[in-house]
Amino acid sequence: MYAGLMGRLLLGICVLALSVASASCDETDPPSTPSAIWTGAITVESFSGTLPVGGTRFYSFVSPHQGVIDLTLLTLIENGATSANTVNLGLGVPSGTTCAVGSNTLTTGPGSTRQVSVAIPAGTYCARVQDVGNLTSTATFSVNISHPAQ
Amino acid sequence: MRRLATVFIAVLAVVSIACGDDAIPTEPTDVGPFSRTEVFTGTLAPGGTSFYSIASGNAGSVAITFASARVVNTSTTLSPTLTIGFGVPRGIDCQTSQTVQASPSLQAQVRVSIEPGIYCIRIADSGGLSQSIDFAVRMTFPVEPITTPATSPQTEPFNSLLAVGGSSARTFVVPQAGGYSITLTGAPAPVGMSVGIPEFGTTGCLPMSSLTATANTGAQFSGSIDPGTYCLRVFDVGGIAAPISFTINIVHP
Repeated sequence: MYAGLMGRLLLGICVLALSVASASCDETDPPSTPSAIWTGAITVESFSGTLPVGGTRFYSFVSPHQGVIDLTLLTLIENGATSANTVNLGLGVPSGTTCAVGSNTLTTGPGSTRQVSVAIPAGTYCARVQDVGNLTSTATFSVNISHPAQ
Repeated sequence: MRRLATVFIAVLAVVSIACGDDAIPTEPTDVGPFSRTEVFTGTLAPGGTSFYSIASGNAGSVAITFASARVVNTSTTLSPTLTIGFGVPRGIDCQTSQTVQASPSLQAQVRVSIEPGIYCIRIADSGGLSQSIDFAVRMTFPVEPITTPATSPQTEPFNSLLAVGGSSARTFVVPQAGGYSITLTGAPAPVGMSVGIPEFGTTGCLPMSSLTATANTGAQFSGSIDPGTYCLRVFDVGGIAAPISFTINIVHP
């Protein structure tokens, strides 16, 4: 009787200890927002070009301060008209012969409001436009890149 | 109760250890001459340009070596003069701060001191290409300053067999800058030889220069060489009817 009670008590203590410890070591994502967001001037760079079927284009730039980078796919034109298709728009870092993009991407059509917005430390970044299989002919595009100014 | 408290603390300790901070070293602290190497390969058309971005977490000296140019999809080496540049990625290109005109070599053509950051290597045809080429540019960073060889040259033998239509290759490590030579000292028939840099992530050899050699006719390759890993390949050029053995001496700092 006593042994059974002690066993259940020990089991309960172990479960409690595990839950306390687990709570204390939960993974926490690094803060996606820098501690001091840039509130100074913003500069806008224009990235435009042609995007072949299955193709990728990227544009490198520097954000001299930590802050927010906004990407806006303003236009996407196929066969002389605004395309109804979507392409992948992403923010990454130049790496090798490409722009290495993580999770900061969105497959989207053109629009006038930002489609990708990422808080970043100061550094060198790249904006990438990629056909993910939707284009039927070479398209022309324009992207506005907004980031902290010098 | 004391026993129960002990059990509670013991379980907490075990779990805390299990979920403690990951003590994963993010970067090696060794910044020796072979600390980090990347090889930029690609195809360059006449009048074309290409660039490659690299991130360095350390300050130091970057060495850039235009090491190989070949007829596309072959191992036939060429020696074009191209513009090799170092800079920072900007817009849709690499904005270079330093450029040189260079031909393939085993000695770095560009050396630059850098702070941590993202940089790029740019290769461009200066107008001399008449056909597309496959190229290889090696980047090593940070690297030790080039020093005068303080030790006697080393001789490494490369003695092996060559099958009909086959090839045989080995790598060798040069610990410091200086002069090198590679001499075919024994082979019953002419053989092909090429020297270059190992292809990153494969067992291939990206040749800087290749030729057909006959034994005991002097050094086939010689010149200046930087610290690093290199490769030597011997191949049948159609001159043997049965497997042969060959001997080669590689002399380097």
